[in-house]
Amino acid sequence: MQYFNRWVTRASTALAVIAAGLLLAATLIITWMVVKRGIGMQNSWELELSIELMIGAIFLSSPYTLATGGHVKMDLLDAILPECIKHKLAFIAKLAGCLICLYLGWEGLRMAQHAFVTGERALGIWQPLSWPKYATIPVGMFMTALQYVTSMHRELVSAPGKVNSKDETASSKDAPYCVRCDAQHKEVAACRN
Amino acid sequence: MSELEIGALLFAVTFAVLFSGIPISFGLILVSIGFLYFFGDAGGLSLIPNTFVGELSNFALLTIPLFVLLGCTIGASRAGKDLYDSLHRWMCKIPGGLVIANILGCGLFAAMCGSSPATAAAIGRVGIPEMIRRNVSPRLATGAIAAGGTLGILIPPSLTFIIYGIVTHTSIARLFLAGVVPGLMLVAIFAAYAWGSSYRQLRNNPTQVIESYTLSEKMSGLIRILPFLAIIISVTVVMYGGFATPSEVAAIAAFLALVMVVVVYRTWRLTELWLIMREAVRESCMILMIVAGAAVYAYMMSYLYITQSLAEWMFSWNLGNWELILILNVFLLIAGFFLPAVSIILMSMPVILPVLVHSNIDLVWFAVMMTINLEIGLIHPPLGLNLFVIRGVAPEVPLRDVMMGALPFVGLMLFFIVLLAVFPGIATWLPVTLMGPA
Amino acid sequence: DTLKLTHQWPQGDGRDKGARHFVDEVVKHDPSFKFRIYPGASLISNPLKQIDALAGGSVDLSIFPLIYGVGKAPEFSITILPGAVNSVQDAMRLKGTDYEKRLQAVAEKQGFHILTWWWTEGGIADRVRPITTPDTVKGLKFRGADRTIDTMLKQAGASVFAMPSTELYNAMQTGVLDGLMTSYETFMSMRLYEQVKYATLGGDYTIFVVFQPLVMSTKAWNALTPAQKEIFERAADATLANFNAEQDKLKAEVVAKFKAAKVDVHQMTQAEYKQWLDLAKKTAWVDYASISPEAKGLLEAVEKLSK
Ligand code: NA
Ligand code: NA
Repeated sequence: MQYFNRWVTRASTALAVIAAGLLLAATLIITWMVVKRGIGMQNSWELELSIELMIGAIFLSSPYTLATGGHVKMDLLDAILPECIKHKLAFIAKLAGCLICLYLGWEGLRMAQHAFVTGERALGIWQPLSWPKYATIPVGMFMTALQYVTSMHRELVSAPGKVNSKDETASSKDAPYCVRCDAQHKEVAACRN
Repeated sequence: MSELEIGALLFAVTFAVLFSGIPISFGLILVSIGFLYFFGDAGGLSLIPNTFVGELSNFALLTIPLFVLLGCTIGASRAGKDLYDSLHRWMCKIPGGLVIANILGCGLFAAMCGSSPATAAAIGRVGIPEMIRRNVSPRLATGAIAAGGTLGILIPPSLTFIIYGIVTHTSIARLFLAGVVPGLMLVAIFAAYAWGSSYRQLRNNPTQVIESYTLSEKMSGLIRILPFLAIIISVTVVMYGGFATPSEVAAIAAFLALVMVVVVYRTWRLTELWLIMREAVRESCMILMIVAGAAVYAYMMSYLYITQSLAEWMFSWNLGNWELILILNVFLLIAGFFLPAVSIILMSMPVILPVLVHSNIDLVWFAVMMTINLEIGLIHPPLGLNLFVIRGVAPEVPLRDVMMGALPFVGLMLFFIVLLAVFPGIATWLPVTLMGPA
Repeated sequence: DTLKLTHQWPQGDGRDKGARHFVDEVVKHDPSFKFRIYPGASLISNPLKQIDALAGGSVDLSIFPLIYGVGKAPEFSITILPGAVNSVQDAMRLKGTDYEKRLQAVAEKQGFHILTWWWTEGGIADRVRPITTPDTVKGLKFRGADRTIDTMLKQAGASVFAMPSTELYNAMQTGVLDGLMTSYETFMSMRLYEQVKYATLGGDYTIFVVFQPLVMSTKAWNALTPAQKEIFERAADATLANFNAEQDKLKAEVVAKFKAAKVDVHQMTQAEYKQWLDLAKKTAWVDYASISPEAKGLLEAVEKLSK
């Protein structure tokens, strides 16, 4: 299980690196598109490609976002509920989140497969094939589901009532208000697993 | 069960599910699947994935990652700290000076960006940590940015005005102009509140050290603002000079910020770039997943005819103009609990528009009032997109504090809606002066 | 069971009126049918996804411009192909012909059945100079509409690029865009006359005609009895006269609106149209025919009727 957790974390980070590359590429492409048009040249593939890249980036970065606590949730009840109920509720919420990710991943896979078989294209001037964009959904969402599995596993092995410092729900309450330290802290925690 | 009863049940279930601590996006999809399963049919369920992806295939929404990247580039590098150091040197004598600077920053950013969460993300990413570092209370810091960010859809360009204009056949130019004065007034009101709140805090805590800087220190700080000024000027030229659309400008601004960080701040190592990019993809993923989840939720409500039935029910009462305006605002506030701004316009305008036309209500004036109302929806729970954005950029501030911080601004905006109802000229004066009567 | 009907236009638009007329006609002949209309994209926020909603059974009827389905079936481009028809009246010739049969076959493959024969016209508007013959668009920045039109405009020397419709108004205002070709409804609903100086529209000839029929999911269509199918088909035919009259009215309104906004309005002459047609045949038509044997068949059906 240790090995599995480490593998999931690495794969999530790798997907995030790819997503970052896609977002950066989209930024450069749109800038280039405006420059190109400004000097009187034809635009063709730029807008459509950058849209596809950004959609891909969103889905591929989802597991990393979950691992580093980026998917925002309402934690208003945290202060009110007793410790044991809080843990059970957190576990149920994770299970539900995991099932939703499996559902989205499965449906995304079907969309990708259908688009691949029928050769579906996006509308526009360049009309790229749709399946690569759809294919990022199963990749991103299944990985997010695996990320949930590791998180639930940790929840189960850690004794209830104790706050697990490695867990993504754990927030360092006494840390100073500093976004960058926090991100760094989470990054380190994620890599330790 | 009637549509209204289903709506009441939905209200309760949504609260329960979202408060369970599931990520907002997944929670919205969970509720949607549940209600379509029990009250809809297989056909209704089958379109959920397409709605989810279809919502994201929209270039106007995809500017959000680009604006977030802009914010992260400045925020995760030394550039943001420098900018606020310089601003601090000039503003530290005024109570709440830095908060006021941030609110002005939101207003300025809103003039370049048509989306509220993007405005909150870009300014908040840099501003909140710096404000908190300089002893601004976390509540005021996050509340000011959450509220300031909502101006993104009031100060032109604005995504909601465009949608409203198309749906109601109202001139988009007129709507844009109508948003200018109310936008500036709200900036002033927010700034005044920040001043008052900080002044009170300062008076209660007189031991707090007040820093002071010499003129030369102030001037040397000013030099470091120059690269930012260069970005703002180039972006303005590119947008209003006819080189790029507002959405394309997002990419250009992000690109210029990256260039600045690499050239001026020498952030050219890949590990440093990764620090910027990972924050950008994380936040973009969070925001857009919620937007897509909210689209699924809106689809579910429309499929089960809940929003429409609620609106039809309210307008079956045959009200006078003032009562009508009151009811409409209450309806929009309630809708704002659960739905994103654009969905509210798309779902409710087919029902509201005939009523407005029948009662001879000025559509431009109503658009401004509606937009401010929808802005409130962005900063109140359970589905306040800006709150989540702030939560994302400042994860160490508890959500409770963010909400408490936003609450006074909700009050200010409600007050402004009343003001606008009594003095419609606030919205209609500029378009009528520049374009003549409609 | 209630049938769901979706479209993307505001209430009171010609196509919305057409849908309501259709519903009234059906109910008049069989009161057991119940409909629920979702106007203005109030159910499906991305109108392109209506085709998936029809195939999946989420909605039963949609007003679906077939060009939105070009990504799935490129043959649908025939319904905007420049020069294939030159006006709404001209499009009426195609009803009940081999062309309709072939188009219906392509539609059925995508999971929907075409009910009405609703065609709409549009024109050209820009901010630089009057557009008459193809050489007048040279060097202008145009917004792309469909691949076939883009091919023709590019050949004429225009710079064509993609742009989402929500950006159009701003783009025309700031000059990112010089001109565009779109339908009368879009000109009106987006108030594009506020931002242009010249317009070529409202005459007997236009190179922008689009098919925007009311369609029904194949699933729902096949569930009807032959008698019910006949009621639906009759109702669809019954809407046609009103729909076309509405289009004529709109045409007059558009011209009046543009003129009131001090736009220089030009009506395309037959000689000018001929030049566009020749260009289209050399560019867009050749491209279109190469898509598939079905596309070739559709184009041949058009050519046969034009003789
Ligand atoms: Na704005
Ligand atoms: Na809300």
